[in-house]
Amino acid sequence: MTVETVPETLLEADRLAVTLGGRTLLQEIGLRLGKGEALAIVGEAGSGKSMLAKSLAALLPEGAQVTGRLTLSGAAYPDHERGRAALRGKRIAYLSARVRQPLEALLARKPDVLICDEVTANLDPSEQRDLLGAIVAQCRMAGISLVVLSRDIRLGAAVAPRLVVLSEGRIVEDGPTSEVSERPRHEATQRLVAAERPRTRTLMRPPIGDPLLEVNGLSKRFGANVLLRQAGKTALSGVSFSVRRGEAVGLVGAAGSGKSTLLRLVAGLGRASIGHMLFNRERYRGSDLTPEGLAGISFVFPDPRGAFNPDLPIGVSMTEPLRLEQQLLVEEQADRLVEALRVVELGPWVLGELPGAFSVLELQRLALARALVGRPKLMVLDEPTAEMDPVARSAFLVLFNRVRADQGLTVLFGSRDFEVIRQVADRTLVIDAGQIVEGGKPGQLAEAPQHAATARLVAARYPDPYVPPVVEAPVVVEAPVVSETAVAAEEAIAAISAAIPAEAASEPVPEPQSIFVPEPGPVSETEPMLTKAKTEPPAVVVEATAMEPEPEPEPIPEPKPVPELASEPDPVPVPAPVTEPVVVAEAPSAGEDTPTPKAAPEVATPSVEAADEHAEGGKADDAVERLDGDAGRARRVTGNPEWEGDLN
Amino acid sequence: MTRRWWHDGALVAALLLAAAIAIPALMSAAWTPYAETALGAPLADAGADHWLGTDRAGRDVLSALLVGTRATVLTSLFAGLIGLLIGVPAGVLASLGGWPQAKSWHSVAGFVAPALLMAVVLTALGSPGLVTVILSVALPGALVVTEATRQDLDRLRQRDFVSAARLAGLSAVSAAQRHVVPKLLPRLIGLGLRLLAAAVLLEMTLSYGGLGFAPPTISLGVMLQEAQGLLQLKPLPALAPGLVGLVLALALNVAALRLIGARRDR
Repeated sequence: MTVETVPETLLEADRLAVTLGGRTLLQEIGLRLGKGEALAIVGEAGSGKSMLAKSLAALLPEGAQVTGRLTLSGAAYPDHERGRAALRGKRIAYLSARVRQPLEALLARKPDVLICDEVTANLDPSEQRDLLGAIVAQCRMAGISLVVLSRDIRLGAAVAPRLVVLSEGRIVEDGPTSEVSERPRHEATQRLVAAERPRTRTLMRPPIGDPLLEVNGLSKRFGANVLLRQAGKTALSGVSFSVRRGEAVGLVGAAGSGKSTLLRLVAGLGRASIGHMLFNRERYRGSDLTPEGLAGISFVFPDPRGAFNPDLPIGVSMTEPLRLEQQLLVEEQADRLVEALRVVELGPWVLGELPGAFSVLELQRLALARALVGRPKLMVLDEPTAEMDPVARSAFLVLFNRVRADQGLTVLFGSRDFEVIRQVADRTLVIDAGQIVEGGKPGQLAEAPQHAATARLVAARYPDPYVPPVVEAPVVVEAPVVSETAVAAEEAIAAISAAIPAEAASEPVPEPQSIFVPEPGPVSETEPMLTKAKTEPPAVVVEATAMEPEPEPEPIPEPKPVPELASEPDPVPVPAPVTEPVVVAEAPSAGEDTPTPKAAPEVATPSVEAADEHAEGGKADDAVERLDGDAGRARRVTGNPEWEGDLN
Repeated sequence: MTRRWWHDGALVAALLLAAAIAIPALMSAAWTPYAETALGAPLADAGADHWLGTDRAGRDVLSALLVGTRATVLTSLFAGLIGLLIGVPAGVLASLGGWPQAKSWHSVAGFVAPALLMAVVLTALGSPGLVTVILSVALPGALVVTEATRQDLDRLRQRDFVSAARLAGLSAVSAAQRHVVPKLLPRLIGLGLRLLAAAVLLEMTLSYGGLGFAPPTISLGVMLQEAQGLLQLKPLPALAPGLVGLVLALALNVAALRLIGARRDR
């Protein structure tokens, strides 16, 4: 482990266990953080991360029973709230998505340690990157120890040279970032890693035909009021595009770009101020869509928890779309439901349950099923993975792509995350400030963004933090039969990841791939898109010490986009041994990417700010750019302005 | 409804408490320990004959309390109902019509101050009494109800599951029946209970201040007013109506909060 790098122990947990309300949330936690050290703790939802963050920050809720020792500079945390409050006020700073206070203010107190608990939840990828960059840079400058907790292993890998993996309240791995992320030993780690290597696009796409949806000069203005003389706010201005049958069009844009407004109008929610749409040659402006039109378009909402009436069983909500086809017999309705559920891999038992019984992922699968029962021609999805953590997101996208191929769906898919779009779209439209500013294949956009907004969105992704050696990847060409293939592919991947440790062991020294380069401020757009494709055997790099940041094996030049339609079956990369990231990761963008395992001098390992102390011998840590990643956004969904203050 | 309302202990307890006060009061129309006008020894202490003693005029305090509570409760019920009858439809219209929001109407000040003001005006116009009390509670109350209904409805109508129902082809009416009304109803009932509680307190305030009922009509507020001169000597005739009104308002408020709160976040 990293112990030798730890200069002087600042914070230490010894056999820490926390029980709350009879449930053991943390157990046997042993952790040591050196002065000035940066440490990332990653784990899936429910692994006990927040509880650990709160324990370390001396913020445990009342009623929590703690056993074991927690010390700061050798002194145990105070037993009393008063003492703990003093600790928090001075030596320990805590930052989370919910309590987001200005970083400067927090660090101005010169704390010894900064604890960040899912700080980037709910931010756009580029905002995430900026925030993390600032955190890392400032902590390093001020010599503040840093603990970052996240569900996203890439985020963890990007900010710290040492990674701790938490699962079910226990620490299951603890070691240098490169080692943990490249050779995950525990299955929880493997899941986290796998979630970042989307293996989608294993299927043949349906043929693409004539335009199914045409959007002509659509504009939407909110809040305009003639009486009050309010001009309102323009959400969309003059948007035009078309979606052909069988095509999957991705719509990518930052929060507030007008993405949702557009998708909702297409689906029939709200009404355009100017312009119109044609669906199946039927002209409409939004909510004036006829019942036939409504039956032909289905919509998937961003937060599935809000998309089902919490008081009604799933079966009741799912039957709603069938009302549009009144000629259906009850038995036929039941068949449709069961069939739709089968497609999303759920059984009929779910029909009697209330929505509260399901996780976000399951609910979104149910929402997908509901969107399928009416056998729509076009499916519109508005950030369906917005509420999911990386593991769930990856699972959903795999399922979605398979469903899409199975059902031959035409898709309009919105997301603020370019990586998600890359995995599902044949063609991508970039929306910014209510206008479509650019369009093209995802690979092309990534390689040569023409518009600033595109560049921002594209740059937001972080490069893969680890640079696994590429072994020849068996390429599997998938058959249209899909489901089978997909399953097989998944299994193969699982098998491979399981095999990783063994294989890795024989390997020469794993090289570090990352350099801990804090780069304050917005990161350069130069960031290699595909850093993942490194071919060089790592060993070479090893010597690149901390001082020398750039030496990473170069990433591959962006694969050239294959020009035409996606119709060709993508050869799908199947999981190659260890992890040839390229294949897996890039596969998504339509057949365009051909991983060329060849090193192309990459533009940059971004800033070269020394990497230093954190890196131990040759182990450099990662560049900042990859800081973003939209980890599951833990948006609080409560939103109700209450009026209960009313009467007395 | 996953959780039925009668599973909520606090709600049930509050409703029972309110009923324990309101039911005997309402039954006082048929029966009281002593006739309302029967006079005995003045200022008797509480005892077996007169559980709460007698007042200055020799009337039985318990009997007066029952009758006075009835007047207060009935007045409040009327006022609350009128408030709901005006406010709910107005709120629905406001939400559907997208009227601009009137932010000032959902605060305490937005309710009490106009109520007092209105009472003063109404008293000036006519004489204090039943109508004054009812109108000064109901009209400002209706505004609060309008705004609350409208906010609730606005929020519910924006919920994705309602949109989903509309996209599934349900008409506005059937989507509302299915997804909106069942969620709105408990909140409206809660709102009605809050209005009721506010009305009880306002009746006491107005009558005590001479803007509402006046003797010989008996109400909780009137009793308070009559007993105030003897508070040091004989506290019971003043304490009894004060406590009854307070407890009733509290119970109604607790019940209202449970009804509204239990349905929050959904």
